[in-house]
Amino acid sequence: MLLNIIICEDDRTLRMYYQLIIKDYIKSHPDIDMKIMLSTGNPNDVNIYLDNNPKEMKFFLLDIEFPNSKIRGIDLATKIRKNDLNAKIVFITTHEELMPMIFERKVEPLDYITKEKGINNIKRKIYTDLDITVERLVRPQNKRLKEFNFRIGSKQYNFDIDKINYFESLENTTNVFLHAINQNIEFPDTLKAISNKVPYFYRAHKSLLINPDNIQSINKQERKIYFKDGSSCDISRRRLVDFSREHPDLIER
Amino acid sequence: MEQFIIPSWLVLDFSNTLLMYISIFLLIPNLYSKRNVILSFSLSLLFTFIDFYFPNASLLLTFFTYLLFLKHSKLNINLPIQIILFLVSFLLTSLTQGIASYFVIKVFNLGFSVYSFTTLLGTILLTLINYTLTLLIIIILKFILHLDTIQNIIHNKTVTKMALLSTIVITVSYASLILMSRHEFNQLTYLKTTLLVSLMSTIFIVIGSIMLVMGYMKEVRSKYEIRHLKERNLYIEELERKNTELRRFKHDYKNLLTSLSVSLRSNNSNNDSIQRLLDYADSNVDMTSTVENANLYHLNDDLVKGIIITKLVAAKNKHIETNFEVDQSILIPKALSVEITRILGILFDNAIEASLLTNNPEISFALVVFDGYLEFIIKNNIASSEKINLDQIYQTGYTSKKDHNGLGLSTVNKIIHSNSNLLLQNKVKDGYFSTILTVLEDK
Repeated sequence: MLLNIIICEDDRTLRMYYQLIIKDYIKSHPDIDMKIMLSTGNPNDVNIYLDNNPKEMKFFLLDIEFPNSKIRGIDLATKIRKNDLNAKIVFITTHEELMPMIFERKVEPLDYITKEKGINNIKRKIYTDLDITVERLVRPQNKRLKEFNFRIGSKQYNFDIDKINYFESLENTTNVFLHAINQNIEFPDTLKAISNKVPYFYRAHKSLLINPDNIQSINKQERKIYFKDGSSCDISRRRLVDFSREHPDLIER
Repeated sequence: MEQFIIPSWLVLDFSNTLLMYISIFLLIPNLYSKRNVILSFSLSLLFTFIDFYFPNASLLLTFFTYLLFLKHSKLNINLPIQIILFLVSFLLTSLTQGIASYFVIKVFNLGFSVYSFTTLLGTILLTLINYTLTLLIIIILKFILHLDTIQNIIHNKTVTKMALLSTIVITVSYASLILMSRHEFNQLTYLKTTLLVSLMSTIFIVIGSIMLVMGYMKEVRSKYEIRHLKERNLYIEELERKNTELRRFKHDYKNLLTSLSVSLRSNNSNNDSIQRLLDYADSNVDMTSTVENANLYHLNDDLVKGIIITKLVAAKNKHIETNFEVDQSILIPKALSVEITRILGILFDNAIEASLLTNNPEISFALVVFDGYLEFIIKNNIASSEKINLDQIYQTGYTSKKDHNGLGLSTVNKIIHSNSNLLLQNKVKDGYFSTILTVLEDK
């Protein structure tokens, strides 16, 4: 599948230079199918391109501020990400325009390249980023991660199921807590809906849905389930009886 | 014997009523006029005789006489304060009369029913003590406590209303007690009760008025501070505008330099000087980092804006490296701003404390706007030795800090759990602890 490369930089000389770097890269990798589809100083052109080519595989090299346009790089990137979870986005910018945390949450960019470090650095970074893109997008995908999808507002999140310990519902709200290794996330959902998505998770309690793959052991006296990362949660008496019948190997002596 | 008691009682009644009018004149000097003086004399006489035939009937009538005084007098103070002063003088004379009677009967052991001489002496002594005490208190009020200035300070309507209410309540309860006790108890018990009630009322009034005045002072001070803050915000906004212009300029010129170096490269292999210039610009023109983000000052919610600025400044003062990013055009739901402020305060405090345990404390804050929701992100580095159990930290009593009761995060949890529109996430990764507070917009 063809990798479409899109460049958006308002300075003409720099744009030409980026183009040269990428053309060099393409020349040195004849086995990979890729092409600069668009190189422009006007972010509107990118918008038009996006609307016309929704399905393609894309790599973006974007400046962050366009003094002559109302569109900001971050808005453009947010739009790209909204339509395409897989697109690779690299920001190329001056240092003080960078707002890494906002960019991270909104765009999840592949990389930032700062202009101050000089043209040699720019070239090296573009090469590495293209390498990563090729590795992740173009090469045949060997195995897909098992992922759990959820939404907060309009944004979709993917989460590696293997890292999830358990889901916990809250009494007074319509929200659910996802407890994972080193991470907790609250999002609006119900345990019932979740258990339809991941049927092999175990209902250990009225308010708990547990990933059986991550259980380390079960303590019968405390009526607690211990996970591989050391965290724990309760299990109800009735469920404990059922569960110990099904998984006698996990019960602590 | 009886015939001596009644005249002495009448004299006392007359002198006391007169004393009340005198204290009114002293407290409200503008009322003083020839007409009113004559009026007060004749009224005192009238009330004494009314009291003689219908005991206590004049008590209620006294309150209406004030209206008579008001005629033909120009006053520069408003009605509630006038009423307060009137009631105060009434209470004051009753109080001093009680004290004086107690002294005469108990301390000097003068009865009113034994000999005509002692009755006479008692009457004179009582009147004397009564007048001295009242005038003394009024002098204290006027000259030592500067009653006039206090009157001028208290423009506040609620304060006057409260004061008025309390004096009215006290007067009414006092008057009803008098009416009741004159029928029920003997003379001494009555005196004791009067004294007790008067003392209690005085204590209440004094405490109440002190608290009111203090509250009022506090309000004045906070008003001043708010004005001060507003002026400062204006100044900051101006600074920010300048800063944005500067950034725009910097962007252009750095672009220019970089592209210059590219074009030079094609002509001349040695572009060291340009690179040096770029490095120089990078290290020397970076003054924007302190007040980096104009968007923060455009936040619509002063509470939330306040807590963010306060905590970031606090972190900076503790030499923590801070970095903050605020997205454009953020609208914080007004209904949740108190909750958000409370949560942010606790999260920032925790982040500051945790990061201070490391060698190079760092705190980052970001406020990101999405379609339909906002995210407040607080991120701090943690000491490598510290092991955080994410499931436990939000429970009551858990704390990783010494000398700390661990209530902060459980408060956060409580607020989050009672609000469907507030979501929380936290994460430990690569030596950083980050918390994300998501605020959903109402659907």
